[in-house]
Amino acid sequence: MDATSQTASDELELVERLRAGDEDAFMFLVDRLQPMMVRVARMYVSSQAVAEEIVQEAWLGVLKGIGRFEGRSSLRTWILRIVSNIAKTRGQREGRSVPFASLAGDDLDAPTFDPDRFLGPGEEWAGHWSTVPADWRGMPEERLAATETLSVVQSTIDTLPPMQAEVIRLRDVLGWTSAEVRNALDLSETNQRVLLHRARAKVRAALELEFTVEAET
Amino acid sequence: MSEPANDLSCRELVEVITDYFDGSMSDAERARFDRHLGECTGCTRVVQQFRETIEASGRLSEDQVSDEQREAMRDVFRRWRATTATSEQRSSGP
Ligand SMILES: [Zn+2]
Repeated sequence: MDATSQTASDELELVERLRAGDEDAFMFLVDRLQPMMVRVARMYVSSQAVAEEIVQEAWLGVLKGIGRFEGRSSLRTWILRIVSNIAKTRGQREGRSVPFASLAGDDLDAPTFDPDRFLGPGEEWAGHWSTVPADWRGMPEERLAATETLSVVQSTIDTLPPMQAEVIRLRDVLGWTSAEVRNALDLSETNQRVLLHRARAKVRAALELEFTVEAET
Repeated sequence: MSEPANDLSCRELVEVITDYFDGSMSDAERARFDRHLGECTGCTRVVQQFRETIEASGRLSEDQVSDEQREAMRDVFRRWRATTATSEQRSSGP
């Protein structure tokens, strides 16, 4: 879990320390937010080096702007939004306007499950399962926490379209709320949910495949 | 599974599991979802699979900052603090 979520009073204390120029408070935030800041910046610009430059600029923006931070969003959301705003502007200047579809994936309207999993139209049970899915509760508890399982989850997330990957990381890996993610990534409520659902569905499908193959061998 | 429970099919239900978890459904939609689950083993299992999937993701850890980047950010901070300190001195000077 991400320690920057903590409580409102902890966050207020962090903001106060930052305003007072406390280096430890700053490094605390760097340790927690730097990786996602670089990933978010990287969505909009052409290289890792430029993304890192933007994050540096964003931290300066945070330091200069912290006096005006009003706490209407969480601190981490506010910081991530600063990064994405700078990155978008920079991307445009690079002549690299990134269409939403290339970040979000072009499959948002497609069904998340293979249509063959359901009985087709004309059948008496149209739209219902053609084969009932497996019961994962029958699996030993350790299976889901096993290293191989987690590496399947990790590698699936890493291959998702960038915005799907970031939404599932923030929501499910780091436990951010949907409001925070919407704010941080500038997404509508619907888009946030659609992206998250697709990402989860793909991870679920990858796990299903992993467990099926294992059961057969 | 006895008979098609209501107008929500399994194919439709699997697309709204995240809406269900996030509480972004109307009471009527939620009731329809629950009613379907109550009568459908397949969907009950898939909803459970989504829960396990979310739990598995929750076991991953966030990337670590490299030492190099970490120290670079520390430099950014120190340079910023040095400039604000001098400008404060200037503005509070005689
Ligand atoms: Zn069903």
